[in-house]
Amino acid sequence: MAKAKVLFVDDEEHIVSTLRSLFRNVCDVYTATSGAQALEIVKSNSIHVIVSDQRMPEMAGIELLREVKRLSPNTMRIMLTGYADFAAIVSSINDGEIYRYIYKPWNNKDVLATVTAAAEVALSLAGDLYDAPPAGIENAQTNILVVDDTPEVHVIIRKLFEGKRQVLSASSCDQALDILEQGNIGVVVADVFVARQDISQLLKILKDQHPHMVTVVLTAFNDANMVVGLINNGQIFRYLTKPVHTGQLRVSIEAALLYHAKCQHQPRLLSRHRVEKAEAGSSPGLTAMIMSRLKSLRGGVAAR
Amino acid sequence: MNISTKLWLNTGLSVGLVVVTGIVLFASSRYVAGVAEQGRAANTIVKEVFELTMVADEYLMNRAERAQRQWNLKHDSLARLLQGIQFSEPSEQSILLRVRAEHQGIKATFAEVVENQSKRAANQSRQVELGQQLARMETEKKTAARAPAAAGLRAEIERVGKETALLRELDARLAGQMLAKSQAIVSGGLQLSNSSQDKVARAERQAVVTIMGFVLTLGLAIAGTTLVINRSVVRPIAQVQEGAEIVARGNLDHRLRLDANDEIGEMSRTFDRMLDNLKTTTASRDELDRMNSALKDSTAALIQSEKLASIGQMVAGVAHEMNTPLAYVSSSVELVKDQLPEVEELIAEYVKLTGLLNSGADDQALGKQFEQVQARAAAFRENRPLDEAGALLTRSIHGLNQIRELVMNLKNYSRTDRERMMEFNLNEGLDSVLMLAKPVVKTRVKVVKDYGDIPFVACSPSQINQVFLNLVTNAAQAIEGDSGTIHIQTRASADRVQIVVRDNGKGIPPEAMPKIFEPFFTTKKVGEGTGLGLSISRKIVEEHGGTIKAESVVGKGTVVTVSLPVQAIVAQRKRA
Repeated sequence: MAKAKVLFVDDEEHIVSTLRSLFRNVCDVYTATSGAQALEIVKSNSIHVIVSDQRMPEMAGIELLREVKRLSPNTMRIMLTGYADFAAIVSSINDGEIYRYIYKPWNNKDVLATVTAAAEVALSLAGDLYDAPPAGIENAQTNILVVDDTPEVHVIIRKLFEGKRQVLSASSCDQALDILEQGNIGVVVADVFVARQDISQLLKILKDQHPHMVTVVLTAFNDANMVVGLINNGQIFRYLTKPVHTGQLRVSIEAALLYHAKCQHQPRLLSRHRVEKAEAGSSPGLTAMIMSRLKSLRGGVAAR
Repeated sequence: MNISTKLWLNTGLSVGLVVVTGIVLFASSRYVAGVAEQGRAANTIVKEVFELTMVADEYLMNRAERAQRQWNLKHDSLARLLQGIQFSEPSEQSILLRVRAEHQGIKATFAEVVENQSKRAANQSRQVELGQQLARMETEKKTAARAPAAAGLRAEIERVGKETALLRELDARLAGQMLAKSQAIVSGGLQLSNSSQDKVARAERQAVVTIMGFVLTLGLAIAGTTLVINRSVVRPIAQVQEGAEIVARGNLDHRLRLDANDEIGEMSRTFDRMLDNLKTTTASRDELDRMNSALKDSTAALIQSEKLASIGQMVAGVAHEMNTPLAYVSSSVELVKDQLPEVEELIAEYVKLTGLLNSGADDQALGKQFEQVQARAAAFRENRPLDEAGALLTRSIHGLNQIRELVMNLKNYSRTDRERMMEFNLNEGLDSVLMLAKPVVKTRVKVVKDYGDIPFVACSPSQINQVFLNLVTNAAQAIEGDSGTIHIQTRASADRVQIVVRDNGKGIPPEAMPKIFEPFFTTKKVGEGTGLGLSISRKIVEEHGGTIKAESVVGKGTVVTVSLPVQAIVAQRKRA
């Protein structure tokens, strides 16, 4: 099996040198100390995985990853950074559609595992699979589930997709699970806190068990660590902040629906969104309950 | 009725009264003047009559023709006087008529006197002539024939004598008549004069009474209008003033409620309306006061939070700076550690080989083990793990040095982060601040240090460092493009030290310049700055007896100059 080509980008020479040492026996290592340099390498090599720092002079990591996504959509994108402001993390989801967000200082084993896994996915997918949009993939059967405890959000989304999609409403974790059991849900629009309950665990397990479901988070809650968890364990598709910006919300949900249809058409793509197993965290009971109920869902990939 | 209307009416009334009084005074003065003129004329008549009488007396004494002519002249002038004079009252007119009649009469009488006089003169000369004839006859006695003639002559003389006596008698009577007439005229003139005088006195009295009356009326009118004005103007004004004082004492519930249709009524209604508004605004002012004091509290809190924010910002930066070497050091050390088993295994194989050699094992086993060791050594050499480990460890040492340097600077900063005064090397302070501000001062910004040989400054290093951190951060944030330079200069003069921080960033617009040291003024986006940095910096610098000033050109950059006295500690103690 051919070695994956992995590009490490960091303005600190010592970081990329160390990563080179770490990965020299695992993959073909490419390094760059600036965004411009990295883009040159991406253009002339078919890079499978790019691992970039966020804080760099001239071109920030998120700008680089956005550009890489455009130039080479098959390249798996990973952020490896010690510090990033909240906006940059959100942008890494919405613009960068990154695979993982890793904190510095890292653990060698974890980084090796993550990058290796990403490299495997990239190697396993044919080069032209991702960026070829299949014709007529609009799937009107796919419904939207909105999980939120503020009625306005439901009203807005119903209005946006009136006559086009069925929009199902849940205002608690339980209701959401009930609907997931019954409806043909393709896109989930959810707040992370619903009825004073943290449902990020639900989103994470849902993605783990049913990766074809595309998640759009719409919340007023902004905690960097939580969002990083939603990337690594939940592979959420979009992260939007309240108050609701209707245009942005419509564009995001439409993109999610299209992406869902794409994944239905090309199920192999789903491997790009494998998640790390979420830890049970502070509420193992809830986790177990969600797990057991989600496993029985109709049409779940796990059941196939 | 409006006050202005009232005042106009009052003015009109006063003016009218004054004009009427003036007319009356003028008329009465004219009247008095006329009457006085008549009185004077009457007196003149009396005087003239006296003079006429005297001339008549003179004539009667010596019967001179000159006196007669004089009398006639006098009489004529008196006649003209009597013709020119006029009286209005009937009694006076009848007196005047009588005087005129007497005057006419006296002329006739005087004519009779004159005629009688000429007769007397003729009689006298006849008597004299007859006497002479008689005398001549007596001398010619001898002629008796002439006796009857003499007797006739005598009879003639006697008749003439009698006639003369009669004429003398008549003359005396006529003189008496003239006197009586003169007296009558004099008495008439006196009567007229008296009457005129009476009239003057009466007119004067009347004028006085009239003036008194008008003055009284004017006084009453003024008093009346004053009363009216007092009632309708002054009293309401007093009420308004009283009300205003009540309100001024703080009673905002007081209302004037004046019931008038004039300007004051309007004013009082406006006043009441204003009070209504004032009461509502006062309520909101109280609210504002509360908010203001709350704001003051929060300002103090904000100043503290600015300090914390700048420290927090710095800590975040330091964390990031430390994180990078930490990341590669830990990874490298881990990698080195991962290589240890390989080394250990190689050594184990060697140990095994030496063991076999020592124990005298057979050649086959020995050869096998030798091959094993050779293969491992070759692989080991090929992998060059020791070189790799050396590189990793060298990098780790570099990273650890990096961390040590940061920690030293942090210690430097934290050591000085006490409110204590000490002799402080500002260049060192700038260095540690620059190191700590590295994350803010992006790598694209070049920092040029131009340190002079400056004396230690007695100051509070933590505070001065806070100022430097603020200046450097501002300079870095002002630089937007790709080519930014922050130029930091320190210079010493007689007893001061100057620190100049110059950037070539976007600059400060002139309209913002006067406000940059004001609290809460910021040109940065919401959330990027508290707007307190420079105001706190100024406060700190001024507390050290120093000055801070900024110059800027939009698009060219900004220069901030801090000047501190070397003995800043003294300055602060004096202030304290």
